[in-house]
Amino acid sequence: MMSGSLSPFWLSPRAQLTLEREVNVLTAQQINSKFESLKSTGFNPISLWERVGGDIELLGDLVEIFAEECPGMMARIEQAVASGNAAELQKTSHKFKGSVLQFSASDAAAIAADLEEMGRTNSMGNASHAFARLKEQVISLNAALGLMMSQAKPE
Amino acid sequence: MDLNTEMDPAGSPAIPEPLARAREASLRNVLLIEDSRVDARLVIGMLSSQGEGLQCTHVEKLADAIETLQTKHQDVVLLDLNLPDSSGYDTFFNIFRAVPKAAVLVLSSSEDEELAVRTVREGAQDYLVKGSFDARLLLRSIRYAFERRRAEEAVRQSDATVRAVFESSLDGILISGENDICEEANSAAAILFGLSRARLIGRNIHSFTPPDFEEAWKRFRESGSDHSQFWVQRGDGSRRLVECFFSAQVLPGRNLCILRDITEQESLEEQLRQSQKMEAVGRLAGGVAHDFNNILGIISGYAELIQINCKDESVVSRTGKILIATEKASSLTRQLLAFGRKQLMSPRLLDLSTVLTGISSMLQCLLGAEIQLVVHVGESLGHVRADQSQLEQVLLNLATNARDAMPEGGVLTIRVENCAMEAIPELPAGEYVRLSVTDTGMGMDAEIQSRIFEPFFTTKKDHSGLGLATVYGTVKQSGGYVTLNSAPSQGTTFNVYLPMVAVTKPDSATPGAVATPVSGQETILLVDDEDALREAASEYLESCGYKVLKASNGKDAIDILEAYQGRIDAVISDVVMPKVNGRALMDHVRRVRPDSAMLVISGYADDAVVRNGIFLETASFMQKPFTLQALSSKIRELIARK
Repeated sequence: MMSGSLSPFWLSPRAQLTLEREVNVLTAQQINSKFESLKSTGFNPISLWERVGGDIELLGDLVEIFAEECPGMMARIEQAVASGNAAELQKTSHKFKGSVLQFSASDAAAIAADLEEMGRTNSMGNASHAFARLKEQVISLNAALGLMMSQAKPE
Repeated sequence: MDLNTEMDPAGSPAIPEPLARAREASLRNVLLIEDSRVDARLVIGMLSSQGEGLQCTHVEKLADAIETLQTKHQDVVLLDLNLPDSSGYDTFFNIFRAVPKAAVLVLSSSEDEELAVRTVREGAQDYLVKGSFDARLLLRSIRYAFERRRAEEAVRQSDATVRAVFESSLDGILISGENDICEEANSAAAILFGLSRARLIGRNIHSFTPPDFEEAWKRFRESGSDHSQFWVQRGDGSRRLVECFFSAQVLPGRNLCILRDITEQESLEEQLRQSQKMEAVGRLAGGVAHDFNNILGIISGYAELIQINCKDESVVSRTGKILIATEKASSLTRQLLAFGRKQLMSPRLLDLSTVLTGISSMLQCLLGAEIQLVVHVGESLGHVRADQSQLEQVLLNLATNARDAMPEGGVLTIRVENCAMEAIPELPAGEYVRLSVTDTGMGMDAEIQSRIFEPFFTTKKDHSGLGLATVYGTVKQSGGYVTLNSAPSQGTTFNVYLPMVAVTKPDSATPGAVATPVSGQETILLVDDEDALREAASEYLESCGYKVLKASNGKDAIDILEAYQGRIDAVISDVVMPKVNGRALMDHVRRVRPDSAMLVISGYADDAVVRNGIFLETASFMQKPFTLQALSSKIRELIARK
């Protein structure tokens, strides 16, 4: 739960806004250099950092929750592929797609979208292959998120 | 942070309705409906960083969301469409159905353009794809959604208010569009035209409005605004007078027309005008009658003196004719006073044939040359107890009604006869005198007959609608009843039933007969500012043996009352006099000579006398003109009573 502004209460609204902008600009410059090495075609750490507003605690929570949820979600997708349950595949892939989208993991999201479409159209011929690719992307994503967390922590 | 816990604890006291409404004015509460823990944590984190003062409640299922929305107002709903208990468009539909006033912002994992358009078209404020927004964009979308929803709600409330005013207005409202087609019409307009709204809306307004409306409409189109009056003929044949206010281009291409039914108002104004006219006529009649009665008193007084003193039969006979003429003139004066309602009403025994004869000349004048008056009087006609002036008014009103029913002329038959009636709800069984007034006019249908005696009901433009109501009231007041027989194109008969009273011939002096003086020896003070009348009365009373003291005004009379040493048995005084009037004089008499009998005489009507403060409990009254014989009889009676 949150309530009230997170900015120092003694500053005027205009001063608060200015301060927040400066902090964000500085953070973005630092992050750009720090996260440059993590950038790939399928993952944009800068975009993710911007999405969480530079909030390391929030990012940590997201990574932690994803780490908890991801195995179960992946297992349900795998189960749906294995059993040929198109509706379940559509549903679980869709949900997974939403999560990885929030992490700016575009490649993983694209594969999840393919799987969702396969489920929707009940054409699951390539589903196993797609799931294998998704698995690879998720492993990469988890690794990248771990690195990102370690680099984002104050030195 | 436990994301599965609702952030606003359940069981908190319900927010009072007025406070809840006040809260709606600012963005406070956001409900997040999201089953993904990652997505939920991110959104809550975004709101935490950017959403100042926002209270976010998070639920994961549709059912929980609906329950939350029904128990606590939420300004904005952030909705993931795919939930454990609902998915896709259905999720949006169910939320929107549960809380149609909520501002719903869809957060979806799908860039499904079709779904996005559909939800927005059906009420969602925005459709955001996950991964494509940051905190600032989300907050901005939330604020925009809230403001748009609030604006929509304001417009909706404004529309509802306007609609309520439109529907409940007592005035008819028409809104016309292109080619004068009626686009809106409220209930009052439908009632006014006597048509259903379905028969107004969609039709050209000139198809149900009168031709003079079209004229006014043309003027209004040229001037931009105007007002006018016209008569509307309803479907049921009744007519309503309508005042119409036009206003052009209230909206682009829309003209407004407000219609106010002023039939009753116009009728009341007409009644007021009529009442004021009658009041003026009454005052005029009263004034004329006073002077005229004095003159008649002089003429009849001297005629009586001639009759008493002259032995020449031919002179006596001729003065008798003078007396008959003065009595007729006096009767005319009384009718004028009755017309002006300036006489006190008092019931007495009446022979209706006499009443009818007395008023027939006036009736003929009223009816005009095109209408023939036929009077039938039955044999051995009984008497009734009624006020003569009122009965005359009844006859005048019935005759007026008959005349108006015969614009092309015809026959008016008045019949008076005895009749035996069996009991009816309105009358006990018994003997009655029936006065029938029959015309050969246009007659009435059943609906008009059912309302004909209602006050202010009229089928004529320039009538007050009081004439027949007065007839009804007067007859009822006299213990009688009035019935009506009529049919369209077959004329009308009004039957007035008055209870017959068993009695000998009612009192009435026979004018023209030689008067027999009633003698006396007492002393009388006679006060009247009309010299000739005073002299005639004095001479007559002296010829009867009375000693008469004379005064031409109240002040002289008071002097006499003070100075005269002997007994004054009676004081006869006019009312309206210079210096000291009749009232002051009578008050003085009561104080200084309480044993004196008092008689007030006046050419004014009775109520004018009362208004001048003469208390008739202690003083008798005679209205001029009177015969001197009647005066001497009255004096004798008053002195004897003392």
